[in-house]
Amino acid sequence: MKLAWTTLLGALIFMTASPVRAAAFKVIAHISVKVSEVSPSELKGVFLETKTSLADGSRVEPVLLKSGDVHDTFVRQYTGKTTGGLENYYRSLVFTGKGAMPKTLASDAEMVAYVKNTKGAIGYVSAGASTEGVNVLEVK
Amino acid sequence: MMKVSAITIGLLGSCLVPALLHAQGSLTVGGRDLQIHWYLSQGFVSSTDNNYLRMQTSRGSLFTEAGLNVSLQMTHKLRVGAQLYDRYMGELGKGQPHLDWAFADYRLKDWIGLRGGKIKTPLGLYTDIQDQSFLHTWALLPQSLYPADLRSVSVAHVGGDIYGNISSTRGGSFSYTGFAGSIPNDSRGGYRYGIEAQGGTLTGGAAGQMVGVDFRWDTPMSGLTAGASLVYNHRSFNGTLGPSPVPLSYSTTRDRVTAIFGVYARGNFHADAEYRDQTRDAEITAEIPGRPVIRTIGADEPAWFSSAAYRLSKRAEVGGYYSHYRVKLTNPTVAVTGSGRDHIFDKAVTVRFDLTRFWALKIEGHFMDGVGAPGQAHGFYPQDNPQGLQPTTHMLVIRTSCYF
Repeated sequence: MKLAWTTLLGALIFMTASPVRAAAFKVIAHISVKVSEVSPSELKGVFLETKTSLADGSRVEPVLLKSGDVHDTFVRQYTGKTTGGLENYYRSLVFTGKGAMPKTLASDAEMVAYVKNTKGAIGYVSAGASTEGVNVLEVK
Repeated sequence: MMKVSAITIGLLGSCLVPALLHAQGSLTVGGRDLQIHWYLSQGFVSSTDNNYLRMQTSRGSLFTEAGLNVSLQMTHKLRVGAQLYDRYMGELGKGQPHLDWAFADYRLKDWIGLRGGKIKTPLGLYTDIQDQSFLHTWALLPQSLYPADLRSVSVAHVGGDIYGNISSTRGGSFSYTGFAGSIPNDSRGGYRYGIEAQGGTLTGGAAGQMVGVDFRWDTPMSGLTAGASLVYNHRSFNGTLGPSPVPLSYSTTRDRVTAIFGVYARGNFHADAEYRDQTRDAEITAEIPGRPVIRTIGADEPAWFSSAAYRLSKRAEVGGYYSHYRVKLTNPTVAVTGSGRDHIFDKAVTVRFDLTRFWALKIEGHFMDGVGAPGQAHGFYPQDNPQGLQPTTHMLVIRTSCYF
């Protein structure tokens, strides 16, 4: 019985364990965002909702993918949090009234379409995705 | 045998709905983004000997907490919203819903913004998010700093905030909040029950005001955040003490809270720590001609906790914390007798399961030494323990929450 419970607990804990695979991505923005590059600290501020505009005064709002390696890599690299940690952070803003849950999208195509049609939107897609109609920002 | 209401079961079952729909709680109203979010938490607690947090935990007790909020981005700079809150934790809350927060937030620039209304107070790591158990590894936050019975003492203020964030390329980012306002009265909270534990009877509400500042530094070191808070309170109320009919008034002459805290998160590992000290002096005045001060009392309550947690997988996290609370009374109104009456130390271990993206389950064990002092009950009330308090308490807490 003890072995059975131990086995069940181990299976429960590890049943969805999966390593994060780094994935290449591009940062994109609506054409109203006039800058061609953005710093890592600015990007972090935008996605942690502490910055609502960039250095040139462009109004911005973050948009995220729902899941996937690109999402995992971007979140880890530019917010310093895990995807679960970032979601928890947004919930802390929502339930104190000090921020909102950002828009999330299921695919690169949906992301590009949303950013193209939403003034100030800034998001990210896989490196090979089509970025017609949006600006690609260099991060440096 | 305890009854779990069918409504609670139904609501918990509905935790599956958001997971199945992957839905987002937002609507577009007049071209504006209206967001709706809610949470529901159901817990069970069982303890040895002592009853805790105004529940009959020695026989096993259920507790419930819930919230519902709506917010609307009116313009790019202006956001409004409100949240209802309800809890049933023995004699705490007793299922009476009330306004948790409601305010307008005008963000002039990233470095300065204004809020006005009923606002959650930024004090220490978790004061403003203590109700949302799904945000934490723990089923119960360290009670040395976040006593569930004394929640309403500091969780929110009715007034205003000035806040902002300043970032730099190499220095990290720095956020500040200055706040001031009145402290809402809680007729079903530990502040009132603590007064009653000393033989006091309030003849009205307990008024209060607070003013404070909070600073947080997201340091250049990835994953490290540090901060400090300072709050000055003033509390007053009228009533009687013991069998004497003489009307009395209580008023603090000094009530200061200082906190320093830090968080480190890297990958699946997370650690945090906070130290807080509350120093309070007060006068009890007889409301008779001449208004003599009949007693001056005081309390010094240094407290701290440290914790660590590790996420084993997408679905499971383990962790533990040590919570340390001490109380030193000056000229107390009731005699302090028995062992363990000047401290509460608590060692807790937790396993958290994230059953879905919107549903969590926690199993937690507590090993507590000490029961605090009369008036500063911190969970151990003589009203619930007429047989007397034992110096140690072991406790199991199981808590499930869904949120959307």
